[in-house]
Amino acid sequence: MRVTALALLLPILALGAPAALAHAFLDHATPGVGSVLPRAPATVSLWFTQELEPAFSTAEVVDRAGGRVDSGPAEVDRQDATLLRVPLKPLSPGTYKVIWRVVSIDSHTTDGSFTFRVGSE
Amino acid sequence: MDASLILARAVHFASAISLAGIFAFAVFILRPAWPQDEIIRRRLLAIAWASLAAVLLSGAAWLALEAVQMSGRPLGEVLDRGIVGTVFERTRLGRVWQFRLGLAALSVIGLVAGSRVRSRAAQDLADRTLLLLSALSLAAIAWTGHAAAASGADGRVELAADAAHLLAAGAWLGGLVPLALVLAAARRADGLPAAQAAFTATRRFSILGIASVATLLVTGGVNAWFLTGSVPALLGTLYGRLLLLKLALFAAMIGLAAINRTRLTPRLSPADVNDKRSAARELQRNAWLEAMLGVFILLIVGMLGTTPPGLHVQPTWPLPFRLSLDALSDLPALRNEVIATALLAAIGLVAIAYGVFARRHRRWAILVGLALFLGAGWRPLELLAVTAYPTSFYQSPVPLTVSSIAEGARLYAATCVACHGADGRGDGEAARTLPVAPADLTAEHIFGHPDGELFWWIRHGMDGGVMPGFAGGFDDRATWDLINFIHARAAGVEASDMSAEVTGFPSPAAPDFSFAFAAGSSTLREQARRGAVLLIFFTLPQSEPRLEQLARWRQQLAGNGVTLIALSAKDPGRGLDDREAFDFVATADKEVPEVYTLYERQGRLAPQPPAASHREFLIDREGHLRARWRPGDQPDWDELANLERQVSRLAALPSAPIVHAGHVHY
Repeated sequence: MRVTALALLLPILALGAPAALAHAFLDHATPGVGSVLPRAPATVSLWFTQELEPAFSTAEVVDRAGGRVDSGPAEVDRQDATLLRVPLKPLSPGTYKVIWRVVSIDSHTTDGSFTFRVGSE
Repeated sequence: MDASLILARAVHFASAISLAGIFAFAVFILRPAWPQDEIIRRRLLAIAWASLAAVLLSGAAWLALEAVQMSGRPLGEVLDRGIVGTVFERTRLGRVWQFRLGLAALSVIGLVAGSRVRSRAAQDLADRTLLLLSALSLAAIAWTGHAAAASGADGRVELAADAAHLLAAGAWLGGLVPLALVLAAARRADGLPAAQAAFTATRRFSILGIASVATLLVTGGVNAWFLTGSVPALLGTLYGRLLLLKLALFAAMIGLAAINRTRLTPRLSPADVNDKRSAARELQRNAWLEAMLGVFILLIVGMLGTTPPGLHVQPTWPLPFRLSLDALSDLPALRNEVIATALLAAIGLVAIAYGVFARRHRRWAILVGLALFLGAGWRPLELLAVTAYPTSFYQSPVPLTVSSIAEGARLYAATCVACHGADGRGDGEAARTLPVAPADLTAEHIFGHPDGELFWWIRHGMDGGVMPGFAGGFDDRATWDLINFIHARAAGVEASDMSAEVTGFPSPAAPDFSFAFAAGSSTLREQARRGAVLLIFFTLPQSEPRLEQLARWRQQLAGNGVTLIALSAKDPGRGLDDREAFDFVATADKEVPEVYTLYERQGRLAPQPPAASHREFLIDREGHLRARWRPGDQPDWDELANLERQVSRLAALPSAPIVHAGHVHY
């Protein structure tokens, strides 16, 4: 009976689950992940799939040599707790890496990184 | 997984459940059953003190260990530098802990008062107050879990389910030890009032138990749905398997509870002439057994909270087959056979159920039922089963972007062309020499296979090695890039009849890319969400008049929610900074125009055109490519009225989520 029930349930359940997200993952960012920009951006904005704990959510931006190019600590937006912003120093053409580590409000930690490029090759 | 955090959580759940359970038992069961017994009350209060102490200590440990995880620093540093304080003061978990610490302080006062007062009314008041405080504290744990992070209506349902789940666990699991104490006391007291009290308490507890089990099942089902969401996630992830283990232990608890209720409790009845002491002893033993099973369950709960929910993990499918309904929609005869055999199997089940519960013809009913069930039941399974692989239910973590597709195209050209052919039709140079013809990767069947199975075939080969596996050749990410490319190309072939007329037909998903205007940078997806996008690939000097025309229409189109994004077809990395009127000209990666030629075929068998002529795409809110225009196409977007009509048709389309690079399954 259990097998039959499973057989009946399986296609229904496989169709799709509600989008519950229990960890904060990077939804999208500006500059976009892997993007090429003609001009240097003034900030990096990271949008996550879940609200963040401001006290423990950080991001830094480094150049190819590993030097920090962010001009201050990353801050969670006051209105939109899924948005983390990092101010940047003036960037010269080159490739930069954004490294983030955030804690979601259900206290789970996630981290990741991506690069973007300023100027053409 | 962090063993100390798991242990701290398990101890915390156990003590919070015990605290709430004791007062639920005192108020709802002990009071009506055995009001005059002071010894049991004193014992319960002693356990309550111990539970409250454990709640505080394990709560502090939990907070400190969370601080370690959140900050990523060692425990010593976390304690020295006041990071625990930061967590306590400035995080969601900390605020819930503040609230619960307040409740614990009030509970201390309540316990002191409750053990001093002598009048029954005052004791009742103390017990009720303590029940309220401990239940609030138990339910509040829900606000620290996965549910707290969900938003909207789903989030509220999940949160309510979590809180109810905790309370029901408190009522049942937390009442087991008090019940065992009452039964032990009744056996020692040995007299009619004691026997009567044991009977009443057990019966009342069993009613509370049934209500709790029902609540646990419903709310647990809701939570399992939210956090695993599918059978593959249940069977194929650590989270799902822990959940199944938890369910198995829970089933064992229910089994014991059922024996208690149907067999042992009636023997405690004063109306029953048998020895009540043996029944009480067995009940007492079962209560302890259930409590032990409950402790194991709480250990699993401790693990679950520190494990990523099944929804976020690629499930490893454990079976060599899966059930697919795909065949049913195509073959009516097959559908009839599945329905007929499933019905026969169901009749068999009914016969078995009749045999179990009926008084007459039992053996016959069960035999016939079993024969029907086994004889017919395997058939629908056999008809619907298709081969499955461990990765069958993997879902691509790599979104459909220009850079992913371009990377996939490079891999395809380097690795797959020889057999599958430049256009993916299975007609590569080596194809004729193979015993099994290579698959046509542009045919519709490509969308019939789950992503996870394409993933498996690329990595591990198929047809007994005629198609080799490439697991050694490229990594997971590259495999998903390749799948993105294959999907995008097949969607482009299928959409080769796309025209300048917006239709509601299944349409390809527009590969996402980031771009920059002089005013700032954004992504295609972001812009599309605001209404619609007119994506223009231009060549100079031919496109100059068209760009001037669009510059004039720009305000009006913006009023209709249309964003213009124009890219040079030959050199998208260079904008037109010197032309202020052309501020809708953007810069982007050079791969963008190339990848978009996948959607420019003039018919299914036509080759992919070069990226060097003027063309435009209309992209809807969800990011589908809905229409394509080249100079001369009809209806002619050269006239504003025509273009605006297409935009309004776009806005009127029903919402359709993106599936499989734009191909929709029915």
